[in-house]
Amino acid sequence: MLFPAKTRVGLVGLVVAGGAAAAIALGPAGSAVGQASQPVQVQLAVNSPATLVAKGASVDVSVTAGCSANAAPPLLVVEIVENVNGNIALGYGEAAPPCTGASHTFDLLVTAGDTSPNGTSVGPSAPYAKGVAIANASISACTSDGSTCATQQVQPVITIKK
Amino acid sequence: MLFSARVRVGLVGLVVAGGAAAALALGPAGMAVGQSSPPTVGQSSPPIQAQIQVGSHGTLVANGAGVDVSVTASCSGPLVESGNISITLTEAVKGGIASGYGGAGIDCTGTTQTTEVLVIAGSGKAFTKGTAVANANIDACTVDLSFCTNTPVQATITIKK
Repeated sequence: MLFPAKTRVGLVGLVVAGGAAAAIALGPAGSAVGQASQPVQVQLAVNSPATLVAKGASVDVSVTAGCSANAAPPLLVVEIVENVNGNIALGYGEAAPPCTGASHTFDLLVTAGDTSPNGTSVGPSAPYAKGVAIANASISACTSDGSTCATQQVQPVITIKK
Repeated sequence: MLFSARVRVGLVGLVVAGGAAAALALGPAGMAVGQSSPPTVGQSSPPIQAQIQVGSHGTLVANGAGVDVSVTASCSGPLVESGNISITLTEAVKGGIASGYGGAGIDCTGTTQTTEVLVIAGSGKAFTKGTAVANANIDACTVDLSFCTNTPVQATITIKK
């Protein structure tokens, strides 16, 4: 592929698909005096299946993410979009996993009809239901001085179950 | 920007930074070609060439939560490293309108590149098989941001399973 479409990788971004645990060695903590900032590394995967919560008001989705220890807490956003009988169910969930240099797997609650990360309302949403959905997820992290940043986006199709 | 704002570009939404004018010409088969004007005396920024074309078909993803659309684009310029392509898709479906947005990055090497862009449905109706209007554009700037161009294109595409 000549340029990224569904996966945008930052400076050094690794994708771990299929829900596998992400065991990678991320960059060293900090930078030595007199050296330029080390590149920030980020990693993100959305795992399938996700689980309905409160009759479809939300979805619990497993996320595996990591960032190098020289990065400030990242912004991780997951949007889940599903066709429910012709109507769209969509919502957002956010997290800020610690940047330790190791990956972490955790559950993230994505609430239907929630506001987007920039604060705007996503509009009315149908409740989520069993089926397949697009998980549009991204992680972005920078060094504490903001001199270097990295972003990764993944857009897998996941299954939602009860 | 992680989830880029759903920016919609008008029919001729030319973004010109640094006071330079841009010329847009529509090529055959719905392909748009944009070329920034040559710099005037005293300006050092070089022009940017960009073009974009939307494929004639899209493919439903996740039962209509999204549509994969093929986009062919290129951009180039001595001080241009990368650009962005974006696409909005609008389809009349039973009971309303399905619409969504997708985007991707592009390296401005001058080489024509084709990729599948995932257009994700927004609030409202899901996409279905049928015809839809695609509004796509490519934008690119010089690394010093002194010069930008935005090239839009419209096309009617067929959405299939």
